[in-house]
Amino acid sequence: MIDAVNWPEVVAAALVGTDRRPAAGGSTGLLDSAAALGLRRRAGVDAAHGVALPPAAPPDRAQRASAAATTRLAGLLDPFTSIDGRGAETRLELVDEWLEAGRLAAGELLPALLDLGRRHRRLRPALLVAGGERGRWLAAQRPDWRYLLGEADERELTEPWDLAPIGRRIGHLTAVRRRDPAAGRALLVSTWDSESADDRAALLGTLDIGLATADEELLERALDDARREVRGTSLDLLARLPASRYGARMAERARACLRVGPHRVDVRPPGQCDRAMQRDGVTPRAPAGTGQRAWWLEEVLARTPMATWGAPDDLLRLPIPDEWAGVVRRGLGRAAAGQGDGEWAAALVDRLWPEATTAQRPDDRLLLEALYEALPAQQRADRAADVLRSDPGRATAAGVERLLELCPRPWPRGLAEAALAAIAVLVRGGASTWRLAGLVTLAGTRLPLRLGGRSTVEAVAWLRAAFAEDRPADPRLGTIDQLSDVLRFRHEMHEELAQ
Amino acid sequence: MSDIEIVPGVQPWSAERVLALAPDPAAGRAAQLLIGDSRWSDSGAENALVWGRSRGSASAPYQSIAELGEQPAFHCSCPSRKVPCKHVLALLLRWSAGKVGQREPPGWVHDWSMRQAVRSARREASEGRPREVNPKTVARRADRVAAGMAELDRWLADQVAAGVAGLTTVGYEPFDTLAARLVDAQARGAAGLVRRLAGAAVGGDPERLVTELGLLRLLAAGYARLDELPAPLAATVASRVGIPVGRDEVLATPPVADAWAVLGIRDEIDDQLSSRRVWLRGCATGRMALVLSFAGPGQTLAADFAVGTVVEADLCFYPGATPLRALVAGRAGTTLAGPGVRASGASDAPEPPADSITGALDSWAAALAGDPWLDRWPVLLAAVHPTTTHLVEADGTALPVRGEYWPLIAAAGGGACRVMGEYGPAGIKPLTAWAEGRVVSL
Repeated sequence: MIDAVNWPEVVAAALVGTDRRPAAGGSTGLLDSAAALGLRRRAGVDAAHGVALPPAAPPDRAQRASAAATTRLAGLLDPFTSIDGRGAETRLELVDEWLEAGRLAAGELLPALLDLGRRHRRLRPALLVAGGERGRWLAAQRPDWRYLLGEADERELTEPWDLAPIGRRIGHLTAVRRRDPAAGRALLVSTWDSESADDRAALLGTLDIGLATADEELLERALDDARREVRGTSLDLLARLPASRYGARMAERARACLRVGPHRVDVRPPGQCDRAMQRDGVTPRAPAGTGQRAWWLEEVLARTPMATWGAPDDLLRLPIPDEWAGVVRRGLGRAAAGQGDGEWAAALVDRLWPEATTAQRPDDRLLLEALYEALPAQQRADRAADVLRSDPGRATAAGVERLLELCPRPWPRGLAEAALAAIAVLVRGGASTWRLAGLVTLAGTRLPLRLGGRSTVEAVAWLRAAFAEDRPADPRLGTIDQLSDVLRFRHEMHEELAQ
Repeated sequence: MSDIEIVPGVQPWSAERVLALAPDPAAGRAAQLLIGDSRWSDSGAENALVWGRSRGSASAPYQSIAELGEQPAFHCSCPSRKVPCKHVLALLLRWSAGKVGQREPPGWVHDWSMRQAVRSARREASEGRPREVNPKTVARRADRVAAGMAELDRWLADQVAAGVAGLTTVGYEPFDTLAARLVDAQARGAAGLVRRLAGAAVGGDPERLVTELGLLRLLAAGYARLDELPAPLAATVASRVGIPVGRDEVLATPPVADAWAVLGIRDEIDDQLSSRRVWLRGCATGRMALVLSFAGPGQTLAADFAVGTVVEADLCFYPGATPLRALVAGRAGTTLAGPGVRASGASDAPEPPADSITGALDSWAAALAGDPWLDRWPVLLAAVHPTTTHLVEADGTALPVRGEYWPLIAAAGGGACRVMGEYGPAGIKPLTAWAEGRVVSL
């Protein structure tokens, strides 16, 4: 007979059961003991002692945001709030704008902000400032927030280089490459032959950082690799290396195809696609609808370093036979986009643009979008303004939205006015709401709040009123209201941040 | 920057006060987007009545009316079920910003106001009438409960006889069956405790399982001897079994008048029933109180309280040995305290007393002595440093925290702050923190 008077015995007896091991008072008596002792333990719990205090965050000297601004930011970060149901992109831009104002974000919002900054790099610079000392203190406490401190996941590898998981190796190699490109390359070369195909492709991409002539050797080796991805990565990198052997080979072929005379350009597309050309990346099989030789011509031009041709105007002002003109422009366009050549990109955008808007082929738009990315930053806004002014209706077909995305906030005056005018034209002209939608979404977050001495909110209200007079029940009014709402939101946000 | 205001019904409220009416934060933020001039027409205000028409996505504009007073009432013709909806909130924000002028109410506002007056008069009349109870129903119900509890007692004895080790592996089903029978026997409270037992079993902690079994036995035994127990304990046992106590009965007890600080609010959303717990502490009496409200599917929870404010009110407590749950018998207007910190200037917002960890644990023990079935008790800790695992006082005394609360850690910045939370056997669950002169809801 067990006389259970202490807790461990009571527990044990209950688990086993009084049928097997009888206890004083039977099962009910055991339950009564369980109640009394269990309750006593629960009520008599003592606090933990000797627990270490957390380290204190250094004090912040910058100015805090007002309570209203804090509430607003909390609303933006709350996943269940809709900013008129328009989605993550607008919300991110608004958060970015809030952070850029330079006020300190409230402590309790920092975890959400740090999580957001991990996924969206463009928030990071502003976040570093708006987080202040508290943000840095907090970021040091969790590995997934440490990006804020500028350490790009570069902890020392705990295991040997070739045994670590691929994600860590990429991170490590990237960091080493940043610090010392030669060391990075040496590390990669040391295990190159024994790497698996997938790993090779991923690791080779890190040579993108600090790309230099010394890397050429490895890249040429990679051209012979069995795996297509490896070859592809290598080709992309080689195309950007000035004065490489690869560049020289392509230039030779290109000059054979495109003879630049004093008065015109002679086009002689390649007659064949031999093994050497294929090794250098020319795809032998043309896509449907394109002639084979035209395709090879385009491919060769697309991989030739722009330096081969000299100044853009020197080549482009010369007449090119009609049947090849489009192919040549496309080939040169792909090359300029891939190599990030701003001068050529600008020249080609101008010439490709009329074609793109009239023919409205999706491929053209994609090429234009790639070229926009190669444009030097100061030209983007001007170009976008030109595009919007000349033909707003077909601007979307030319991928103007991508160009507008690349123009940082707030848009300069010229672009802002052109955008507003374009919206007015599109609305009056009865453009479908989806076509308006993209432009309006971007305009909402990128327009400056004051334009030429007048508030943009007022300007849009005026636009709306004028339009509503003629057509009070038009669904496009809803789109304009969305624009107003976002602008007003930003206006109030700035007032709150200035308090 | 925020001061104490004692607000009569006429002067426009501050934007903060309007937003505090929001049934949930989403409505408040959505309202901020709807305050544009182009949306609103036909708006006006007369004393405590505010109205307006707003254009939404539908063809006809929405009509919104708000009557602010001791018991605010709202109306909007939009399809949202929230009260007050984002349109009403936006209207009030405009009113607060001075964009709504004083005018005579138009016909549609006047009509609503009249109907509203009739409704509230009718409600007051019905609340004053005592409810008739049929003695036979009462007796029949008592029999069913007794039968249910007796069955529970036998079930418990059987389990312990056979050995409860097996309960950790049988899943939820046997507990669900037992709980359903208790619900049939009109012992809902006991059914809830059986579900708690199920959680302990499935969770795999034998000590917790045995404790919960013991506590259920305690309840059954207590119910069997209900007449012999002292009145407060009998009331606690009856309440835990699930015998309802009428509102009028509670409101008939002598009210406790105090300035009640709203410490924290926690919602539990279920598809059948949502509940809101509002935790209060009297600034003078130091008593803790819990105001519960419920909402069925599709309804919104009542938004009478805002965390960080202090309400002068009379509370009537439900009978029990550890009084906690209470009803609001009367309210004398809200005093907005500067969040947790004495507002600068001549204002003197009363502050609730806060405890040390040891003091809080003492109050937990005392509470359990009155109500052994408590699984969460409100604690207001005066100065603790939050870490990922504990809330730590300056001398190293600490309470374990249930979960990682990064917003709390970030807001405190390693310093000490006042924290309110629900304490239970597994540690404290923080609900609210007062840090850097702000109230932070977690």
